[in-house]
Amino acid sequence: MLLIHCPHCQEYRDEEEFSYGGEAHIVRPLEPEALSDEEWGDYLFFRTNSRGIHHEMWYHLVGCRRYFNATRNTVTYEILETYKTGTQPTITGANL
Amino acid sequence: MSKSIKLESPLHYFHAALNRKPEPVKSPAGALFNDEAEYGLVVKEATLSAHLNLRGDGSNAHFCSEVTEALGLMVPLTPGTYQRNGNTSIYWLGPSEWLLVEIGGDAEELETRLRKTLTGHISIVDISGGQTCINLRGPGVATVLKKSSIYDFEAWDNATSALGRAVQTNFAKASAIISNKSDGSYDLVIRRSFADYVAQWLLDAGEEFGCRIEAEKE
Repeated sequence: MLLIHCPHCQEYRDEEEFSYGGEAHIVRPLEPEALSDEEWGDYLFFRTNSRGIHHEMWYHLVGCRRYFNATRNTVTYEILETYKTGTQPTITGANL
Repeated sequence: MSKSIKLESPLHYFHAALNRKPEPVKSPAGALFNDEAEYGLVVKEATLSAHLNLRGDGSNAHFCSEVTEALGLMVPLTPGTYQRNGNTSIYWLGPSEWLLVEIGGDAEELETRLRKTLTGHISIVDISGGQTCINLRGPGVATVLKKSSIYDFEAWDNATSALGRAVQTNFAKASAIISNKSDGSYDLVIRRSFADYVAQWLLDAGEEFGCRIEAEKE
């Protein structure tokens, strides 16, 4: 069972209170109609599926009911940091 | 709330209906427990209270002072805390969300009072019909909470830092807002649809300590 630090509640809470929200930092294209079908399909359906450092969204379902981002190592399941939506991670694959 | 409509609290049928008295047990000192201590867990519902969901910008000092003006209560800005003044409590739910509970209060009157005072980008929703507040007291209550919830209540054991704590977490398989009071009892705000489940759970979980559900006027 994971203990996840919620940046809003500022506490470690049990994994049971959270739900996974998919990859973070995916920016919606400003002009979807200008994209090719392939580019739009990539935006909608294709994810990086990284091995190692992965930035992802989590939802504190039972607690504050807010989304936040987490940096997780997909190999070890270790959560390296959690941070509020709209901010950038301090730990990335490049600086690890 | 209109007086012409008959309202029933979610646990109305439990009041004074289900009392489980434990076998008299001897305390370490050898004396029988007295009447109050005989029950390790006493559950009491605060029936038909006013519950309002309040949204606003907590970083806006103007908003905070207006809430204080309307309620006589500070807006809790620290996560996991609440403020109480008499029968009125305001719980921190999220960075921009609070729950306002007035035990025995009139939601309509409370909402009108808030709407008169609060200005700007806010939201007030009357959710009185959707949830209820129950109070748990007795020597077994801390153990019952610990075995019913995934939240780590150990941090609350330190009474000095624990006063005024409130947490939204899982209680059994239902969600609840659990808060501690200065008299050593705990308040649970639970969903109406889960009220029966939570009450049944408490009767079962509290059986080893002796559990009873107390009617509001007893």
